[in-house]
Amino acid sequence: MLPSPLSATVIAGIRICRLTSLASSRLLHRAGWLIGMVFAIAWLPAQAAQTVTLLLSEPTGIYQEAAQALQQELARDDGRWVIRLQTVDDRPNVAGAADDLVVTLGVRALRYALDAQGTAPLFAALVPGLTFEKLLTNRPQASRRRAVSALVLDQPFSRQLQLIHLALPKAKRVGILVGPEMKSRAAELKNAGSEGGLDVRIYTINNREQLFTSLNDLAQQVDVLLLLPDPQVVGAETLRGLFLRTYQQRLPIVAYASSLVQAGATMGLYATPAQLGIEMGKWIREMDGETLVHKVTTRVPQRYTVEINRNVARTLELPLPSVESLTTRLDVERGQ
Amino acid sequence: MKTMNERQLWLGLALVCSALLAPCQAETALPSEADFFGQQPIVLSASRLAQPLSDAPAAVTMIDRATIEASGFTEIADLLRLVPGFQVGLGTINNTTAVTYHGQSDALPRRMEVLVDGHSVYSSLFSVDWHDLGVALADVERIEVVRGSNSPTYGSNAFIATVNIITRPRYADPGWFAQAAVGSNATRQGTLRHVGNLGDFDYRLSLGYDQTDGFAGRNDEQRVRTLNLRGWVDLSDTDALEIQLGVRNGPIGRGGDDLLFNPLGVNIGTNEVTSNRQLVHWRHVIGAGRDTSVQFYHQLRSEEDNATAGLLSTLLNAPPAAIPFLFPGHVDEVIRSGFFDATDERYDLEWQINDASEERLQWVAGAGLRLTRLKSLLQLGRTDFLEDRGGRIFANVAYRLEEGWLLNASGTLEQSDTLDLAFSYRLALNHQLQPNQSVRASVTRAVRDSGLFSNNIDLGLHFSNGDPINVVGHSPGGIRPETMLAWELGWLGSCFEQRLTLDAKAFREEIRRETIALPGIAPEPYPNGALIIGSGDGVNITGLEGQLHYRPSPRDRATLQFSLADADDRYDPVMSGRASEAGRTPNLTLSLLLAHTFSHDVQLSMGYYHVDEMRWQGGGEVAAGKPPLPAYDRFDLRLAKRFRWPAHDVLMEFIAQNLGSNAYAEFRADNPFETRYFLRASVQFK
Repeated sequence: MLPSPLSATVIAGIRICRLTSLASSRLLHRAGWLIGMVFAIAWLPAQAAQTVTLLLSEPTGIYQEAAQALQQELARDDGRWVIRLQTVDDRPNVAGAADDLVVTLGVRALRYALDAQGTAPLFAALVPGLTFEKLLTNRPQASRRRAVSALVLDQPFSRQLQLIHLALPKAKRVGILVGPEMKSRAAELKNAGSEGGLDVRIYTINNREQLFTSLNDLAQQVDVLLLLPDPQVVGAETLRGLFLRTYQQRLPIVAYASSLVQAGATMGLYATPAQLGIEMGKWIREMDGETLVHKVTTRVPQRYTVEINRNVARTLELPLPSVESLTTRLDVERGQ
Repeated sequence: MKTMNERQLWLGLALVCSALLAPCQAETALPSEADFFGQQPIVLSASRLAQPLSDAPAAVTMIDRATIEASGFTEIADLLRLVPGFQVGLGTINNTTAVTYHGQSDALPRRMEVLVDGHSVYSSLFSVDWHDLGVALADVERIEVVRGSNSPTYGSNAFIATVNIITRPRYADPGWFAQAAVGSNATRQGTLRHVGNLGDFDYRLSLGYDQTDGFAGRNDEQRVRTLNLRGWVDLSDTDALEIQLGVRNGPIGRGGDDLLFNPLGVNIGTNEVTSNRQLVHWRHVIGAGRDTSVQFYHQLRSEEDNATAGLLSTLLNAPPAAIPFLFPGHVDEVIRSGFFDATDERYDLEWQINDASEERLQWVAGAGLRLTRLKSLLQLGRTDFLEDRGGRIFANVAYRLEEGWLLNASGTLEQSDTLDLAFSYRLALNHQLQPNQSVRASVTRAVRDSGLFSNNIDLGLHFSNGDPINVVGHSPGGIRPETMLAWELGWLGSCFEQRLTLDAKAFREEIRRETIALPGIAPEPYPNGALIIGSGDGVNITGLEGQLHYRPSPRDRATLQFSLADADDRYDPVMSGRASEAGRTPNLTLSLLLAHTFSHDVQLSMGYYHVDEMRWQGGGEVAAGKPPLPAYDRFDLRLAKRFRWPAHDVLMEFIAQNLGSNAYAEFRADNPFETRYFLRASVQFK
């Protein structure tokens, strides 16, 4: 069914057409149709203009980068989206009915939006999956009030393991260190491993001492270490020791952030803020017109970047394929 | 009144310290986006090792890009006002900018090492020309300042402090960038930069223009052009090469009426200054956490000062025929009086090996050779180059004794034509009290080479072959090195998820055998009353200083820097005739920078700068009878708007310096700093 202004315009055109039939004028007949079409087209842009409140944790850096990419993506639907750019420090009102959509960038912005009243659907980006889950668990009323969706920062385990398989075909045993919070993912990790033909071994650690004890003989038990964004494992206090002990055991590390690759990991798989911004924009465009029921949806990034630290790879005597070849093969095997 | 204020400040600081010593709230255990995109803060300048601030063996101030922007300063030297204990003096006796720490230098920061990306820009004649660093303000990523002697790491020049200016990284800001500034005193500044690559060769190329008329009524204008190239190429997976090339030239106004600056009252003019530098740096990765590098650089600075004093016979009011009788072997000639006429050159080769492959032990070691050449008729009485050859070996070790305890040991062994074998060392013990709190205790012994210039100065009028006519400053040579013994107790802590950080240190510095110029009885043909270079006694400085950074929200930043110092000059004013030397260390140096970003990317920032009464060191410029510079308070304001136009990043800034107060003097009373305004626009093209 056509929207009402459009229907009225077409009907008006048809009426003119009928009048012209009565006058038996072919010229007027054609003109009537033409006027009707012109009116119909003229009404089209007035149909849309949906407001998107873009809420940034901070007005700079990665948030700005992601916001710009997202805005560029939404600008492809000329005039369809009206962007309202806000940061948490503005203490903006994100609860009003005028908000057609709220998109948060960063944990701080998500926390602010979840705590605000309102029913506008909420999309979150630049947020780790575990944190998203915990925030919602602690605020059960938030997802009852509104649809809450997240494009999480975490790469899917299957893709990370696929990268290991492609880059290090001889590696069969993958070690993963998890703190108390990440422990809940153990079963999921093991499943992803068995589906990818890899033996995933989980090491639970509760404190720093335990972390380094776990690292001591890790190379005898696993062929590669996969780092996950777990503050209990990766932090300013632990990073240097972690890299040094794995170097000494000639154990390659696959990480989730560019800074970790630059700091000493062998390779990394991650999405950049711009990639996440574009992807969030595409998601919003896909959802355009669809009714969002009150539920929680989580997506992992479809876009990603592979990075290799060649100095480390050479030191560990690992003949790694090029980044381009790895990305292409990952795309192919993921069916993209 | 002042005592009362100081007491209040001490009390306030004590309260802040005690509040921060209380355990801070635990950080959330959940990951955030910072785990994916954050960087670890590390410093390089304190020990040549990449270390977190809590592991550094000395107090380090980091001035980051956001602070540089918020400050609204248009000169790199100005940024050092944001370092505890630093004093900046615009409009010195040489019409240059003076920078010192605890008041321990004159117009030339001769005891301070200044590095750009790790290599020294120190010259043996004018030590550091802050306008000729080979880097534009827009290219500065951050400045690391080691507060306190760093000679054990970087040698003689780092006697009181080290300033390391670190430029933007290799891949940052791709494409074209343009910046233009206009403002008071006919200031016109421009920077044009391109960052790109030619095949495997990545480069940053920048052109700069800097024009100012300087202080009112003084011939200190400058119109300087610069061209700088920095390039990188990866030779293999383990080898990388970096090159730097820079040239600068243009006229600089020289004029004044003080003794050392203008001994004969005739040297007022505008000189052409040219300088160039070349650097090549090769780095090779040996293995995990282990690399070696070799660096070679050459820098040359030349100033043409063609001032003349006329014919000698006219000067002496004697017939030309009398000259051979008065000066056997000479005839009448036109006498050159160009004080700044000099060429200064330095070659430096350094090798370094860095090993961070062990968890408990991290070390760096290396060796260097240096050749310094200097030529000046008026300053040295030389028509040929004087040369000074020197060598050094250095090592820094960071050893983790046990959990939470780190021992840093550094040492440099130096020798040169003007320095017998000398050893500077530092021992520092760092202890991590909590994840966000650490304490540090250190002892440093530093030795400073008196240098080529101090050992050879022969300031005055000379015949064209270098024979003296009338000398007003002379060095007998063999000047003994200065020494310093320094103790430091430091505390570094953060709170509220690192939104509040405090870095404080209590210190004592004992400087001995300072190189000084005293009026004395000179050997023939030097007249009595000429300044004779020698070794004086020294000074003890005790104090407390620190910095407080507070970021209550991402839109707000506040930094407070303070230094309370008590200097005990050991000169006997009657014996030395140098009453003016007392009080060169200000009791209180304070700076505060506040910035808030409003919506629509509008930022407002305010700077407050206070320096207590002080005298700058040196014979000529603070001659007895001149009053010390009174304390001053200065307020700066900056209003900035960032926007995209149409797809380019644009930053517009309005800057006001020394708002709402009277003109004040930073170095000399007759160079009043009045209110200045600037407009600056920057565009990063996309």
